[in-house]
Amino acid sequence: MRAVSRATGWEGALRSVVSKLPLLLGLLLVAVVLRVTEANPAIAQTQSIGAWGVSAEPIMDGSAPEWQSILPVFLPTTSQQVAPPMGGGAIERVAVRAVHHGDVLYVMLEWSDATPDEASDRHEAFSDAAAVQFPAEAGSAVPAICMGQADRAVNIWQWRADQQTERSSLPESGYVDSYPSTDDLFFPAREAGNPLAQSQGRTAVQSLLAGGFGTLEVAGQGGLDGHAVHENGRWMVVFSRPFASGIEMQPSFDGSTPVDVALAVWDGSKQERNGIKSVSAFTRLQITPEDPPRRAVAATDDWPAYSPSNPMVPISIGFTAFLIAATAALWVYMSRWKRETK
Amino acid sequence: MIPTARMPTLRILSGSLGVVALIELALLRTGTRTLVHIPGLGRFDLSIGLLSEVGRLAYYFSVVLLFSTLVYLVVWLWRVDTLPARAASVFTSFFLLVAGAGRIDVLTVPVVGWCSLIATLAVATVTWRGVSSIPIGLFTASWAIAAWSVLGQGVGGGLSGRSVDVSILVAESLLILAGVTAPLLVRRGVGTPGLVAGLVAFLAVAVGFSVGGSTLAILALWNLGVPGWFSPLAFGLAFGGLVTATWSALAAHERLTAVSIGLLVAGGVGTISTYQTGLVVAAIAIYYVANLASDTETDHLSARLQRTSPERKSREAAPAGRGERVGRALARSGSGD
Repeated sequence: MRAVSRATGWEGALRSVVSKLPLLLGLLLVAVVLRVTEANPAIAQTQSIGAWGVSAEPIMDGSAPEWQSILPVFLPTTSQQVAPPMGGGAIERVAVRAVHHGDVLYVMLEWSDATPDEASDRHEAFSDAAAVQFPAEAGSAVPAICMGQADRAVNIWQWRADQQTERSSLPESGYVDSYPSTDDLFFPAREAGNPLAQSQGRTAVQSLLAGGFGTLEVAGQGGLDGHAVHENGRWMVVFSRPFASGIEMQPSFDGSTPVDVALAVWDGSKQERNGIKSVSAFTRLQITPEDPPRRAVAATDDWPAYSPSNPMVPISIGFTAFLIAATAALWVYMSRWKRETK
Repeated sequence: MIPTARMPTLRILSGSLGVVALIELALLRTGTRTLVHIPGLGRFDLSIGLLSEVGRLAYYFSVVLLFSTLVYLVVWLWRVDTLPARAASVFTSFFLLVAGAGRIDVLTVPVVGWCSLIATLAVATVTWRGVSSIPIGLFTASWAIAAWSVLGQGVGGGLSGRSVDVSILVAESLLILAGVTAPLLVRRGVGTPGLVAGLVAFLAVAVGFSVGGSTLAILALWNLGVPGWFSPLAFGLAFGGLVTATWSALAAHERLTAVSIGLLVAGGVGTISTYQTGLVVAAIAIYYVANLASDTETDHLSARLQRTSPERKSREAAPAGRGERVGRALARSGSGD
């Protein structure tokens, strides 16, 4: 009896494992079958965003009452620290609204940014931007959030403030060489087909494709459009694209299944560009024919005057001090408890 | 007595679940998400792909182990003839039913989410054991508030931006407090080796992530369901507490407690998936079982001491204690193991 009840050591544990090996092997076999058939017994419970049906064609101005009256879903964002250049995180949450009309999907992102950065005409000037990312093809698993992965590419819609505004004139303190010709030969980026360098046919939003870090390339627009306004210290960007783009490696929105979606935003004045940005986790976009839920809370509550990061400094310091005190108290308590138990 | 040796199936299932869930967390949710982006690792694509596949298989194995463990817990707890244990059994089975109904589209995702919230809170409430349950309580509160920030918004919003900020802030605070107080979970207290291990873990996280604080933030968002707004020092303390508790639990042969801690870490906070919610429910129930087993072991030891004590006769007349009643019931129910 004693031997049985004291069989709590590692030897006993090992003996128990061996005795239950058939059970474990049976469960492993079930897992292999599920893996091969990709039959996942669990379901996702992450945040979902409704894409609601609207009767009138939405305008591309996110500050319009028809957009602002729709209840947003807030997604927390954080800095990107997977692929270099890393960092960012200046924007801590983004409000998302989505509607559809006539087989066209509209996604509106809104975030707080007091300084609109609409020009990148100097080395140290960076543009504000926003992006929406979808898996390029439907699959049972979401791709890696940062630019996808080799076997699971992502389609990215990116809006850039500096592409929406007319190119600013040369800064007063700036210098520029004068080219003797307007021929593309003297403009290597334009000659190479860089879409951001084109003087004509530029668009504020681009459709991009990536299958991992360093593989970003321009994809066909597929009817993708977008426009942003900056008002009351906030950017409001509206993207629109037909449900079916007609281009390979771009998602279709037929409404039958939710689509995974992730967001990224850049604050140019905080030196955010490229991989230095704020990113959300993957959430799900659920297209529904229902009318959008309209606003029930005051807009001021959505965008309080504080920046979420500012009060965090004293709160974080205070909380950490409290934690240190709590840890010390716990230590004392545990020591006493241990003595009493003995 | 309810000897841990009399419940080997539960021990093996939950122990395997703890190990496999942590492997899945390390490989699938962390490793493959970060390794694929490290420059210069392109030549290890094959190895990374292999790791990814192992992680994916670990995920499926973990899901199978989880639902098997939960089913076993439902039956096991029901056979313990006490109200809290039976209530825990009922609420655990409620979660299983809801998760299954969500899988076959009988229930919608939001309904599954709300029911998961109710089930998790209910299991944590009925298995409350006083001071030693404080870390579980803090974790459950953090989990529930993070879940609220998702469920409260639904697919169409409904919470203000300020509410979302506050709920996430509170959830993260409670999560860190749960980590710091984790040593309370260990019934035999923490020893010096556990404290040293915790200190090393604290320093590693606090120093390591102070250099790259945003790494902490993104890992916290991905794996724990919170954005990592607090300082690396706070997360370091929480991690140190968890390591101390796990080390001490293993050293004291409280393996179910160690499994429970591992499952809470793998589960994270908030409604992320029925798998991760299930890990949290299992962790709470397993910790309760660990305490029940400990109670009856203590009772058994007391009874043996009483039999050899001069005051034995006078004590024999006293009514049986609660732990003894549970022990008898569990000894009956556990005899099948």
